Amino acid sequence: MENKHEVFSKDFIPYIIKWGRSLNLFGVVLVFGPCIALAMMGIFPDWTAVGLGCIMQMSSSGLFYVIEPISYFTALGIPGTYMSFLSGNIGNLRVPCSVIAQEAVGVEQGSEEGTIIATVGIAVSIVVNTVILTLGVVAGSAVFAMLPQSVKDAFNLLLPALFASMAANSIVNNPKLAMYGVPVAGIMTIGNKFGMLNFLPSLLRTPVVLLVSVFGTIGLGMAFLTGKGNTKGEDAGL
Amino acid sequence: MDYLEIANSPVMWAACTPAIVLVLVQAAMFTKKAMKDGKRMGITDEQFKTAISASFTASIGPSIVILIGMVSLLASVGGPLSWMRLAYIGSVTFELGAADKAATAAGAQLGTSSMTAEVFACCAWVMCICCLGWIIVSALFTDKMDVLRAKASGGSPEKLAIISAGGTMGAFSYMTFDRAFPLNVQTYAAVIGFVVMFVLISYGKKSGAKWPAKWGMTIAMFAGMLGGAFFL
Repeated sequence: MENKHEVFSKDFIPYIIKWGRSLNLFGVVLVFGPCIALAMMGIFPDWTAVGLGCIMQMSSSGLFYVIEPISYFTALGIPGTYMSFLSGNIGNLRVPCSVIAQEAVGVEQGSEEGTIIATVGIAVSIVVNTVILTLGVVAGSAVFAMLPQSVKDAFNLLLPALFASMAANSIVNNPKLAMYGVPVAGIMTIGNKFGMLNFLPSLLRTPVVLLVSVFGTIGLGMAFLTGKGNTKGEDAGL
Repeated sequence: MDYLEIANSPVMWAACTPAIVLVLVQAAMFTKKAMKDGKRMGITDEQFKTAISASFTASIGPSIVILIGMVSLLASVGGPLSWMRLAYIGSVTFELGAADKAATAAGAQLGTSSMTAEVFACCAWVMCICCLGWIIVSALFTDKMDVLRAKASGGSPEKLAIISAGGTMGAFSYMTFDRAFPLNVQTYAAVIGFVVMFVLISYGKKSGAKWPAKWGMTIAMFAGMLGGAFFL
């Protein structure tokens, strides 16, 4: 029997990093496909407007370029991070699929086996998502425009239910950690809505809430729940 | 020529396809490698099948939500660009915002007759440039994040477990509170989704049954949606 850790760290991860990095960098080039096609048809934008549009958009999304990969990394793992940021729709699709795949198999989240299972789970979500979007775009907007507004409104309720079910899942599995994590996220999120973070520039508020929710939970958990002689998360009843 | 004719032209479809193929190729390569090395690490075929079916089921609901979000994008920037931008790097809320800001910057408004081919090109450039941050950060720093995580845990499985569980818990607690407060119709969906999942997972832990971990989220998600719809 081969050494599991050796297979994972000497074979699997180096392959993933090599191809994850090079394919994602290659992805930077492919992003410009539509822009190049337009240029070939002789259609160019007003460059001042492009600059202005980018500044407007980046001033609201710029911080998330850094904060989202860091915040979601612990849930996605190395292969999952490469795949998820190449395919997008992270919080609403990739992270839930990563967690559910690991839970369903019963491997510990973030362990070496967990990372392997998460890779497969996220890849499946990419295929399903691409197929559904492709069918949808081929069927065309006409079909979806026919959907009654009530059905569209109902589907808008799917995400809050999804997020809450994922929160419930991690609370049941880590009740002790939840005593710190849930209040931290609750105080930050609700507090922000009541103006608690108004001393910060408005662009920083949401990123700060996400960062403190994630790393506050991790930090408090590390401070209060470790070093009591437990060696495994499961035994500690985290 | 109407800009939507250009936006939906075969050339645009051809230009958007390589990016989507890249996503699928990477997913296929990583899956093949994960299954090969996973088997060497003692993961069984049965376990891989469980992961695949759980993730397959869980993906359907959220994908439909993305599809519905795509409809408004389809009307303003056409099929190919919407398709590519939602299957590649971005997310539905981000893309609508980017297209809207680009049109505004070009002195037009999405979905109105003020849209010209030039404004559409402006949307395409802004949407494409503004998503680069995520892919560049992930390409260059993913391996460093792992080093950081290993340092923070000091190699202790106990700390590593807290880092993984804490990251997921913090992110989803934030997203839940963000949707559920102040009280609105989404609150009902969140509360129902939470209670259903809490009961199912607790039952699974007590009884040792495997199905709640596998299907619980999908059940809770649709229960929350249908339950919440009563309050619409």
